[in-house]
Formats: sequence, structure tokens, C-alpha cells
Amino acid sequence: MNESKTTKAYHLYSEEKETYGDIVKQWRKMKKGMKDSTGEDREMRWSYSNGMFRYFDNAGKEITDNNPYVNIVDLEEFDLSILNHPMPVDPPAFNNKNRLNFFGSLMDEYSDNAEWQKKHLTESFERIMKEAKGKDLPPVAEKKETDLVKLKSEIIDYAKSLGFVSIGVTKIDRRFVSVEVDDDLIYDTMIIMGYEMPYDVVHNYPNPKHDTPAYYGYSHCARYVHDVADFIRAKGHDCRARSWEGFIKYSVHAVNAGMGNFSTFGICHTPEVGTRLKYCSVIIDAELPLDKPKDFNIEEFCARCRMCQKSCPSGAIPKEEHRYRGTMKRTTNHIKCFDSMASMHECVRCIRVCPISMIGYENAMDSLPQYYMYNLETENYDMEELKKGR
Amino acid sequence: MNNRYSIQGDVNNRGSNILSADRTFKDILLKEAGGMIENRRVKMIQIGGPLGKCINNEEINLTIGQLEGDAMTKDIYYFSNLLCPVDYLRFITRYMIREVKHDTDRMRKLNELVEKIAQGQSTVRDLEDIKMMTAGSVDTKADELFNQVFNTVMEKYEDEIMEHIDDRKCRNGICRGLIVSQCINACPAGINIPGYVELMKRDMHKEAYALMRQENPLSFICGKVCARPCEDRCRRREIESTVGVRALQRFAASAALDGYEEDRLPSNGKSIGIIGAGPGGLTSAYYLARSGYDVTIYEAEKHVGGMLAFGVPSYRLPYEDILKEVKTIEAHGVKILTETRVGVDIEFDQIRKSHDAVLVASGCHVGNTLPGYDNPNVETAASFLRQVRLEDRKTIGKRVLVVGGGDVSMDALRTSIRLGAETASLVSLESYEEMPAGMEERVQAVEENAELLNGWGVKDLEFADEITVTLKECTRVFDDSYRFSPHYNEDNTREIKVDTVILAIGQKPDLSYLPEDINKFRGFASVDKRTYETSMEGVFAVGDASKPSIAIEAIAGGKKAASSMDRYLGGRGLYTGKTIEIPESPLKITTWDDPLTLENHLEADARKGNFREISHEYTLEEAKLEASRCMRCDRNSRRPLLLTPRR
Repeated sequence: MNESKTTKAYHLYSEEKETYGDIVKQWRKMKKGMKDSTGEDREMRWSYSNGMFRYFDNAGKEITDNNPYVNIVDLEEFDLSILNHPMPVDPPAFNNKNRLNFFGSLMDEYSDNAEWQKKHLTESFERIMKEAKGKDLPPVAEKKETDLVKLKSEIIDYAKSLGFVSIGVTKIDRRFVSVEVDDDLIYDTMIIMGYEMPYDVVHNYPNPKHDTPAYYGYSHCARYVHDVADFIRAKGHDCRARSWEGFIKYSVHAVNAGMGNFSTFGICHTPEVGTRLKYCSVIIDAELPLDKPKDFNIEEFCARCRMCQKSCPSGAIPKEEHRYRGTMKRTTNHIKCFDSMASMHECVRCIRVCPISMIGYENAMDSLPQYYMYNLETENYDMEELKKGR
Repeated sequence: MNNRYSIQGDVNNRGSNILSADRTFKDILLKEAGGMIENRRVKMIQIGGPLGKCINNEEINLTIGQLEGDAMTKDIYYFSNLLCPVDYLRFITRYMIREVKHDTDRMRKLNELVEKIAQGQSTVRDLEDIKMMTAGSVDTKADELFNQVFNTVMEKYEDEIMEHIDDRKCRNGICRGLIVSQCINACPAGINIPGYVELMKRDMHKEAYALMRQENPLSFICGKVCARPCEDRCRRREIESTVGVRALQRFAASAALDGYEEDRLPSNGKSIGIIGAGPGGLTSAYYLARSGYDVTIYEAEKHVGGMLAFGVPSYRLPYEDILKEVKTIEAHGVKILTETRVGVDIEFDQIRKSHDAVLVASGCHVGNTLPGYDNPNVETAASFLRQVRLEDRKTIGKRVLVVGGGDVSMDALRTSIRLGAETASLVSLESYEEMPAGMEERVQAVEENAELLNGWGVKDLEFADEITVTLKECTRVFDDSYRFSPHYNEDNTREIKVDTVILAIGQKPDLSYLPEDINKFRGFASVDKRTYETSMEGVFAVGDASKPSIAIEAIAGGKKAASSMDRYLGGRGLYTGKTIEIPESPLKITTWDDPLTLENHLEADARKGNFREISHEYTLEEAKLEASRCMRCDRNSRRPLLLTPRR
């Protein structure tokens, strides 16, 4: 993104000599234009570059709001905060002008497959961007798979065969989507897929060999996400592949999709591989059955571990939760974290030291009081029957 | 009727089994579940999911059919003695709100109250409120089942819940709000273990030792002989393997002891008399003397150290090591009068009159005997070990049988081997896994060719040229409440012929020197459990003299009694030195790759026939590596987990 443009737009008063009256006039005109061009199904909110932005009805809001594992403590405050200050396109750390620009050379230096990885990252991202704007869309098969339960399980099986380890289906909550990306997300149902960063690659840290975990994850997401999208099109449903970049905040969606719970440092911890994975997604026009959020006892375990927080070289992971835009969470300090990432070969110390990611989820659960395991079996219980009157 | 049940919890074999309704929970535990993990004890069993019926270990003979009723699921969970009832109740309230989504005002309030108990901010009134709120009629099935679980748990584990409220203590270290770390909580003395481990990482051994001494002045000794309850509850052990806490303690203490000096408060002119220079007495003496009291210890024997000196064999703890640390206590002006037996050399009343307060810490030295089997070749372990240690005894029968399965038996057994016994056997009622003796002792005894006869009791002794011991099979040691209540199969017997029998079947104190108006219970001094004061004003008692246990318990009691005596004499608290700051730095990220480093020790062949110390101290590299394995749980958050407000 062009930084100078962002800065100018965000501070409406900058540089050019405008009177207050001019600005008001301009604003009213813009607002009218927006309203005229906006359909009934859309709402508006602020954007950093255009002043105002519109977005679709928020299908995922209900899921997040009722998800007990996402700690929004003041819904009104959170909604207002997002309306006025939506998620930026890039994480704030990316705007740090002093950052070392060296991720490209990191791959060249440490990855045995740097060319392969860079090729797929570039090609795949270009294809995603084109498809998002409706260009060069592959054909969708005419025969539509109507059994959505079957479709979902076929998609999951196929994605797993490509190497995705954790897969979930949920609705997009547009509060957790970067501003200005809304229009690209033409469907509400999203299949989130996590690609594993191999144990060995992470285990080599702090001295990386043959590969770097994050770029391994990203490039494999890049390589395989279109295969899943094409598979869905062959089943007669339209879809768009979405990238591994941060436009859609995957952590909270993954928690909504019952793939895991938040870890100490805020990424979704999955029982399959912990946080040792990178996400990408496909948005689909079919109303696939949604996965329900689930308590994997990650919170309980992390509260009795916190190894990542105690090992973080930059002190980016906070010890206690604090109030942040209507939520209670541990917000990782992006700038501190990014400095470590940039200067320590992707760092990944928080993953390297995590017993769930590196020793295993089962092992972690065995170390907890066993009644917590009731949380993993809630589907065995008929909750509605329980709540009936006597 | 047969049904498929899922057996879960702290059992060896989790999984699904077809069970008939007339099966008892005990039977299921032994057969299908394969017993509890690590031979833990059963504390609670729940059938039918989180809102199912709960029973405790005493009701383990009930059958599925008697209990099941209209259970919601076919789950049977066995919970071990590490279950914390408060944390369980906290879980149930969260489960009701988040999983059942039965988010009522009552649930929220109950959650709040239980959370208060778990955070150590509650009063008895909160418990009354909970009781009131979970009694009476309710509207839904969920509420009904919930009340049932709540009431059962609160009734059966009331003591433990009250401990959370009165003492702000969670004995199992599950409630995060009440502990600093699990190891500190498990240590009777509450030594800041992660703290000294962190200091050791930076080679600050003097500071590390000073930090240990804030709770335990006998840290070097404990570094060699402690039963290490901390390592049993090490959080890292639950995930991977324990940190070598005791070995680290020994290393730091050893590195710091040379030329170690401490400050102390000026004399306050008050005088304390302590009877017994064992771990309890020495600990009290140290804290009181450092805080300005004039302390005199009356020790009956020639040697100081009490049970540490004449109970623990020198292959585990050489006597010089005891002296090294006792010297640091004497440096504070503590006078130790050895060979001064109270009741013989000096009367108790005289001691009481010449001091402002008196502490009875004379230990437990009289071994229990088998009545009717008096013979010079039947000895008690207490006197045997004492003779070897203090009177330089060098002889023993060719074939030795030790009776008992505890640590003292192991000491007697392995001492016999060192004195040249050709065969050394040990008979214990318990199975190998259940023996109270430490695992390290068991393994090393077997390495030294000792024979362990597990699951047998003594039926009869016949004396001739040799002793013929008839053993009978022991079918159970404890009843379902884990009270000692052995059952035997008198028909299944075996005989062994030996020359010496050593009895290690418990010890009792000799408190005959105390005046009559000090209350005793079964020979032990009765004390107030908080103040350690006996029924006579100004007389306190601690250690094995009041309650037999391990050394670190006596040390913990020693400090608490010292503090209580200080309070009794109008002091303002014990002086334990200046506050030591614990640095924080990023942990080693590859730590999970580092396995536990055990202390090097002598091979079995080199151990036999001599009393050389078995284990060697860590090298500096080993100590630093081991220190880096600590998870520093003391740096974790103690705040409760959030519960999202109702929408």
C-alpha cells in the first residue's frame, strides 16, 4: 500500500490549504455519494483512505458475539471501536519505516526451495487478487452438488490429502476483516485451512536449516489453496481462494470454527499441531454446515504454562490480559514482535518453546486435572434436554 | 444388563468397555482400568458426565446399577488424590454457563463465589451462601443435577474447602490464585524454588543459598536427603520430566557454604531453651538466634543432627556435612549442650525456669517391637542404625531380614549389606509399587542385590540356632478409606531362615521427661496446629515429637514454631535477612530437548561393603543445564480466567 497516500487521507487537514467549510462541504458530498451508491444490505464505516467505507451485513457477528471463547466483554464498545477504527490493511508494525526489509533474502539464505516458494507465493497471490476483482475466473461446473454435508466432508478430505492439517467452516465476521477488503469477500461462508509448519523446521531453531517455518507455511498455503478452490468449482459451487496474508483475521475465525482456542500469544492453538501452522481460506457460495466453537482446555493449559511469554526475547507477549477495544485479551505488541521476527530469522521462539506445539496436545491434556476433559465431549450431552423444566 | 461405558480420568487404561450393571467401581478400576496412574489413591468417582453422580473412595464398592439412575452419558471418571474440590466446583459452574449455556443469575453468582474461594478472598459466609443457593427446589433438570453434584462435593470434601477459606491454602496446588508455583506449594517449608534456580543460572550461589535459608537453614543437608515432595508436583514433571530440584539445592548450598556469613539482629535479652538438636530444633534455634534471642539446645547424644545423624546412614549423608551446616547456626550464638539428656542430666522444670520459652523437639527414637518375640537377634531399626552410626558397630548376622516397607527399612537393609550381610531381604506388606519408601531407594537396594519380599507379613518367629520366620500372604494393606488395615491369607505361608531380624515397623517418642500436665496423645505431644503450643504455657513442641514425618516437615514446623514463640514473647516477626530480588530473563527455548540430568552415583559393586557416599554433586555445567530446565511457574499469572459476560 502507498504509505504517503494513507497518511494524507487519514489526516484530512494536511498540507493543502482548505478552510473548515470546504472540508465540511466535501464530506457531505462524499457521504451523499456513498449513500446513493449503497444497497440496503450494506452498512458504512470509516476507512483510512476513503473516509467512509461500506460493508455487507455481518453474518459472522452472531457467532463471535455468542462464542464464549472470544472474550468480548463490552459488545457495544467493541462494535463502536471497530466502526470508527476498523482493522488496518497491514498490521501496524508493517508501517514502521525503520524495519529491516529482509524477509526476501531470508528465504534465499535458509530455504532449500527458495525459488519454488517465491514462485508460488507470487503467482498464487496474483491469481487471488485477480479473482477477487472478478478477472480470469475459472469455470464452475454446471452440475451442482446439493448435499452440502457430503460436499463439506469431501472438501475436508481433499484439503487434508493436500496436507492441510486443521480445517473449519464458519461465517466471516466482517469486524475482523481489514478495511477495504470487504468488497473482495463476496460470500459469507469461509473454509479456513491451516497448513502445518513441519516439526523439524521449527525444531532447528534458533539455528534454521533448510527452511524457515513461516515461509514454508505461506508458500504451501499458496501452492495448494487454488487446488481446493478448483475442487469446489468442479462440484458446481463458486468460490474464491483467499490468501495467507493478514486481511482476514484468521485467529478469531478459527476459534469460531471450533478449530482451537486462543493461545497465550493470541494465535489459534489447534489440537493437531498447536500454533505450528499458517492459515489460508476459501470463501464459498454454498451454505455449508458450520462448525461450532469448542473448548479445548487451551486456556487452562496455557494459564499453567506461559512458556512463550517467559521466553519471548522482545517481551512482546504480555503476562496479563488487559482491556482493549471492548475485549479482554493479551494483545501482542506487534512492533516489538516484528523487530524480533525481522532480526532473528523469523524468531518463532514462542512456537519452539510451546509444549502443545512441540510435544503434543494429548500430552498437555494429560497434565491437567482430568475433569476438564468433559469439555471435549460436550456433544455427548443433550444440552436442550437438560435445560427443560422438570 | 450390559452397556458400553467410557472409562476416563487418572487411570492407566482409559477407553471404552462393555460392563454389566452389577460391577463395582473397585472391580472396574482393578480390571478394566488397570488401576490408578502412578499408584495414586482414588479420591472421587463420577458416573454420567460432569453433572453425574459423585462418590468418594469409601463408596467404591457400589455398583454401576446402584448409582447410575438416569445418568446422561455412559462415562465413568476416576479422579485421583490430586483432585481439588474447589477447582472442580469452579469447573462445573463454568461448564454450566459456557457449555450447557444455562446462563442464569444463580450460576453467575455461584461462579463468582467459588472463584472467590479459589482466589483466597472468601469468608465462611460465602460458603454459607453457596450452601443456601444450592439447596431447595429448582426448575430444570440441569439445575437439579448441578445441585446434586455441588452438594455432594461440598459435603464430602468440606475440610479441604475450608482449608482454602481459613488457611488460604490449596493443598494440591491446583488453584492458581492460592499458590506461587506448584513446587513451592508442595514444599512443607515453602522454599522459593524457582527463585534459587534462577539465581543459580547466573552463578549467584551465595544469594541462592541465602534465599533457601529464608525458609530452611538445613538446605545443604536437605539437598542430600530430602524426600522432595516438590519434585512430585513439579509442573514440568506433568508435561515431561521433573527438574532436579534437590540436586540443584545441594549444588548451590555446597558452593555457597564455604565462608558463608550472615547478619543478625542485636540481642533482645530473651532466652529460649530447645530440647533436641534435630532438624526441628536446629531450625527453630537458627531463626530465633538470628532474630536476637539467646538460644540453648539440650541434646542427649554426643552428636548433633537428631534423626539426620543417627537415622540416615552415612552413605547418604556423611556426618561432616551435618556439622558444616550446624556451624552456620552456631555462628549466630546458639549454644548446643551435647550429652545432656533431659530427665537425667537436667530436669525439665529447671530448663523451663531458666528460659522464657521452651521448645520440645526431641524426636521419635524408640523403635516399635513385636511383643512376645524378645531375642537378642531381633532388633529395631532405630537402635541398629544408631549403633552403626554412633557406636561404630561393625557386625551383623550373615542372613538379615528387615521387616517394613518404609525409608527406615531401606536404610536398615542397605546398612546391613554394607556391614557384610551375605543375604539381605526385606519383607513388606505392600507391593513393590505401593511401598512407602522412595523409588530411588527401592531401585538402589535391588541393585545392591537385596531381596524384596513384597506382599507378605510376618506370621511367626521361631528361635533356634537360626531364626525361622514364617511369612503369610498379605491380601490387602489399606481399606477403602486408605486406613491401614491389613488382611492376610493365613493359609498361604512361606518360611525363610535368617540370623538377624530388624524391625522397622514404626517408632514412638520417649517423652517421659515431660511433666504430666503437658497433654499427650498416643505418646506424642499434643499441640495447637497453628501455634505449636502444648497445653503448658510457653512450652512448644515440633517435629516427630508431635507428629512423625519427613525431615523437611520438621524443618517447616521448626520455622513456624519459632515464629509462634517469637509472637508469644512479643517479638515483631523473625528476621530472615534482606529481601533477595529474583531476576527475570527469557527462558531457554530449546528446553524441551533437555532431559533430566541425574546426579552421578557409584556403581552397585563399588557401594557394597563400605559407607562411601553414593551420589556425586552436579558439575557446574550440569547444574546450569538443569537450572535452565525450570519453567519458572512463579512468573505465571494468578488471575482467574475470564468468563465472558452474559449477552
